[in-house]
Amino acid sequence: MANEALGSEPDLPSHTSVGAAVAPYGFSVRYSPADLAGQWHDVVSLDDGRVGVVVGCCADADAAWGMRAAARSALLETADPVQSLRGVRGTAVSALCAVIDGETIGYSGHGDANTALAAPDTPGPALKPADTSLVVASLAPGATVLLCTGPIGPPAAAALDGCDSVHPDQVADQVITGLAGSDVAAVLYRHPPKTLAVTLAAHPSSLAVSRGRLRRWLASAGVDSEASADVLLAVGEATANATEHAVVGATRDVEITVTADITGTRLRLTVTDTGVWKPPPASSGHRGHGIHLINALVDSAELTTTPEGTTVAMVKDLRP
Amino acid sequence: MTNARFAVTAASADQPPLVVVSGDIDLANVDEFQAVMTRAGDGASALTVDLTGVDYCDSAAVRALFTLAAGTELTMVVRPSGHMATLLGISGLDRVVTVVTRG
Repeated sequence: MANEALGSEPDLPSHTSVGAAVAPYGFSVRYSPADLAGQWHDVVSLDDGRVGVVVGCCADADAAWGMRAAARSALLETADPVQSLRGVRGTAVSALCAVIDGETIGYSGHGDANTALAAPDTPGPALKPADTSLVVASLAPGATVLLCTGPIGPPAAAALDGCDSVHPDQVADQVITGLAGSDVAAVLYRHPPKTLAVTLAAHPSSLAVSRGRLRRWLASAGVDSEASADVLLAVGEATANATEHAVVGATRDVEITVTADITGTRLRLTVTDTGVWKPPPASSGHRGHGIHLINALVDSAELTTTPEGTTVAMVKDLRP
Repeated sequence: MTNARFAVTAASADQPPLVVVSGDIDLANVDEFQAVMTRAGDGASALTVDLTGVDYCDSAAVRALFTLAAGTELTMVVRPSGHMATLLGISGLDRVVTVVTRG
């Protein structure tokens, strides 16, 4: 797979922060309101699903563009945080480079640049000082990583404490509020959370319960509101369909299981019932809306029926 | 449990009856949704349903609205974007009712 930069290049902005216009899925980018010249960030897709992140601070915007380009090119070439910063170490006031894969984050930095890592069910964020040598930490499901061009004080660290159920965009807002007064660029990353699996009786009263659980999981996974609405409706239709039809003629108590998980930018969803599936009538009329809706809302949908039940498997691509 | 709230305003000299809906609508409460609208529109030739406060609704609600639109001149008020607008477009409901966007 070819390396490519994520996000598009904006025109040189009137303010002086430098970075991608649109942060890729899983990443939230903020600049402090103090915003002096020369803060920059970059998020770059590398081979094997790895992602490289650089935040840096230097004298002015022109220098920031130059250093961003130098760090990016080294990152694409080496995928190594230490080597990626070698070319900017002498001139950037502070810089931090991280490479994130499915299980770990490796990072290196200098100056005041720092990082914090918060994992679900773990009290307080761990502040691991960035160093000119490589530091590697494991990423628990749902972990949140903050990469910042300046020191991360107690207010910003507090925003990370127990933040795993909060949408990362919201956490990023709280972090930058906590960093008020300092002049920083910050990138927040949310690692995909544990797979969601909800099993409930095939009954209309279960619909609101599974919808609520999925809605909260999508927020914790950092899925944006538009994609979340599409997914909630697609899963809701599949669940309602199973509730209405799988129960008819079944001689057992029917249950419905909803699952959701994320690999890279692929959000996979399944709705499985333990009932007896009946083919839809030739002319389904308004009842056919459910299937049309699902196909229009997700990137792929597949129905599999066995004597044990039926599964609707859906995929939604989360690329911006 | 799925919860929706309904506020019904009776017809006036120049306005059809109005039903303002908020909350969620799905299979669990779609019968109530349909009953409220049918009662509100009873005896009137037109009905307005304001769905701008609806957080979630699915094709069960769309079916109810199709049924209602077959017997009355239905106007729906929805937000310009979001999942209700998506639902209207995909289902084709926007071709049989008058859609007003707001919010």
